[in-house]
Amino acid sequence: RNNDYCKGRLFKWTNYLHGWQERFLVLKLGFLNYYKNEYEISLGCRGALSVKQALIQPHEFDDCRFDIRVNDSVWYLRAHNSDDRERWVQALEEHKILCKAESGYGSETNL
Amino acid sequence: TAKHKSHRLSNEIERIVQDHLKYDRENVSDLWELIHHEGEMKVYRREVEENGIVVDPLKCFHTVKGVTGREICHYFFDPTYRMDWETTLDSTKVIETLDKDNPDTLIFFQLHKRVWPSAQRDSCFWSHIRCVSTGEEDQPLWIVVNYTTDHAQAPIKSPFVRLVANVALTCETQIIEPPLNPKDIKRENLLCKLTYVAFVNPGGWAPAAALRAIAKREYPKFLKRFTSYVIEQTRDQPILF
Repeated sequence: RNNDYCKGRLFKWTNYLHGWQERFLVLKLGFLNYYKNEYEISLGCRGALSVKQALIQPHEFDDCRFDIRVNDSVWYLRAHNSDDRERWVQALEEHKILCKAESGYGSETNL
Repeated sequence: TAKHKSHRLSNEIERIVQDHLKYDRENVSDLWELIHHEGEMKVYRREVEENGIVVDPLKCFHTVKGVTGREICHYFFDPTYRMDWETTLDSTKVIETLDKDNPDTLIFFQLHKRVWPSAQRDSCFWSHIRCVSTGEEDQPLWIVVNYTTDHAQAPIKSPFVRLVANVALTCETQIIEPPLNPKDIKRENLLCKLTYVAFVNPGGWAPAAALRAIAKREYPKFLKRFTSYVIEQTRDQPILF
């Protein structure tokens, strides 16, 4: 499956000192990982969120923004334009359904 | 950032602070009983007795809006404000500042209000405040630890009973709905996740049922009073990150 992931540059909220910083994000195998940039992928990811339980929320007023929540963890993200946001949100939603279907087939339904 | 000189308590402080950073924010297991739940505040305890004395460990989680972790820790640490929010003391006194160039560690001597029918308690402890960076992308963490110590200027004198404590307040700021420009962050964008952990041995004898009843009532009261105090004090102040 080559079409079940998404990658590219997005602005990610870091902290009050550094604000929004461009980062390289990769969606695959149930996780959204982020890296400082595409050249540092081999150094390991700087953070990851499990997509299966994630809540993906496009921002109400800012059409570039979307938030991803897993329990208490929130990533605030900003795409370069609204089309790019659309591409990410759609990929994430599709990936989420795929994750649920795959794990549902295994352990969970049998418990 | 201030230069850290080492002093006679540096190693002990390092060890105790690291322990708190490692364990405090972990969720509680089923050995812990939820004794108070009010809004965002959850207070847990584990019933433990040592030689017939109640030494129940306590762990509280709370979320406070409109303040940063640094602000909460500042008001908890700085003796200037202590008597404003602390209702269980007769007096508090700083008896030593360990490093004058970097006053992040103070030694306190405190006289607690007498709770009838027990003897009056006093306490002597170092109090240490610190900012811990968890990674360049995350909001730094603030922590204050209060830990019992001996001090020549605070001998144990009858009829007072010395209580022994290891208390830590850990705070993590979150920015909700971050604005496009970090300079536009307002208090309404702030959320502080707070963990308060207390191991207290009251020393001497005290009736178990009374101690547990007091703990159940006083810790939630303290958390509410203290956090609303910080909200009140910082309301119209510039944000201290």
